[in-house]
Amino acid sequence: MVIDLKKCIGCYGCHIACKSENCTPPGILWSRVLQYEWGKYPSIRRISLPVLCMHCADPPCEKVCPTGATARRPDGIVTLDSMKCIGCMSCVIACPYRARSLHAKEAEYFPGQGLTPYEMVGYQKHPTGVVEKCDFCLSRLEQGLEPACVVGCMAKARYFGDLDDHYSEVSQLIRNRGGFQIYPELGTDPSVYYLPP
Amino acid sequence: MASERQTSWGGLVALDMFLGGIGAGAFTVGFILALLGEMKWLAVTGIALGPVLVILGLLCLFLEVKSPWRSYRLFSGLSTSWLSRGGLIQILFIILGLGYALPSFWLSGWLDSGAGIALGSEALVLALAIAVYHGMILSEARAIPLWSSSVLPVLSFFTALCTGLGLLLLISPAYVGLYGSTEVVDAMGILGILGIGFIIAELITLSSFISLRPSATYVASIRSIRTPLIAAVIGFMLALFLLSLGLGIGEVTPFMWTSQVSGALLLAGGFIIRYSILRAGYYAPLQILI
Repeated sequence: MVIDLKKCIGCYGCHIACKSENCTPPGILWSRVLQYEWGKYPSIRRISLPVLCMHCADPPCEKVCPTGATARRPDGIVTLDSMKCIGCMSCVIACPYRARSLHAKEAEYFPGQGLTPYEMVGYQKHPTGVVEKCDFCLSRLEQGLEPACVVGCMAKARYFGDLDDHYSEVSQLIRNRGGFQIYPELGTDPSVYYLPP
Repeated sequence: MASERQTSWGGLVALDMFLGGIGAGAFTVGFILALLGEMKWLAVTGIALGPVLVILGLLCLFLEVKSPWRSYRLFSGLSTSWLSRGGLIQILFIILGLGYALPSFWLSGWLDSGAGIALGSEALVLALAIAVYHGMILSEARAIPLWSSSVLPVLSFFTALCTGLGLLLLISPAYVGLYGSTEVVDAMGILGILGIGFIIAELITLSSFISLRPSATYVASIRSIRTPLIAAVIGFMLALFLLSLGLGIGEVTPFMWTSQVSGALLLAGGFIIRYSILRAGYYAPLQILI
């Protein structure tokens, strides 16, 4: 995935599209937008920095997982099997991007009102006592669709494609516009690139 | 962008590390005493308490884990995960440690017999691995500069030895009624000499851990726990002074008093260090380096 920081307007559309698609419980954000100060005084700009699971090529979360719940698929997507997760939080701590969160207990969006029909259906995908994270909307990808945050971005700031394909749009954007990763020094080799603001 | 503090691991994990460290340290000190062939009662105490405390530590970890009923999967990640490795090391230690400790209650001469020493040596290796493992598990978090320090496993090792010895120092005067003050004072003398060595090693490691300056987040993390760390250092120095004083005086009552206070100080200092380091786990802030 490539995120163009020049196009991002910080509308939190990706955040909402993710919540809507995946029905993540209150307090759990697979896709976040951080406000970031960029540059050096006096040329400082405030930019929006969308962050999500970086689907690293060398994921630290996979290494520390004691149960094998976290695994990297051949296509590069890092998945989490909730049936194997024991909720030890090792991966939450190991992830430099803070892209993982624990679903400790079931909560409702409207306290005291009970679960809405949407929540009742959606929460079946969210067992408690386990860690959760973005899976690039795997169910959508299997249908040939793009992730919800890409489709829902009103500024068209997100691009999804195959980084291994030298001629794909994402590869060309990274090459031509100086795409960069966050925390490259940690050696995790994230699959999410950013284009300069 | 400001650094965020980890909130995933808290008091129960600190308690697991603390109890596991005491267990590993007490076993190590007990085994050293068994090899020296004297103070069997104190050696047995350390050797028997070691696995029991590790069990209590594992219980804390079990309570911390959010889906403990799936813990049977814990050993799936042995090739890369220190949590898996640590789980296996601790379980093997409990089996071998109890296998070494329990026969000594009805077989006299078991501890320094050939079979006993062979079993005890294997358990000792595992105990030393437990003492290091608590530092290794934290050093896996590369995004938390304080924890990814290479000094942390060494610090964890000496903290385990100090706290294990502290426990034996604290309880050894209770044996005066059973074995007489002369033998107990002899035992405390050996513990005192070991303690002085362990405390000096701990203070040297702690000072190098504090004085590292790899990043701004590391410095800020150390600064955030300055007060408890100073308290722990003062406690360790006081324990060092009291142990030296007790060894110098050599009389029963003051020696017992200084040993017990030193033991309590070592235990308190060890817990403060472990808990403070866990609390000071600040992530390096996200940075755009272009």
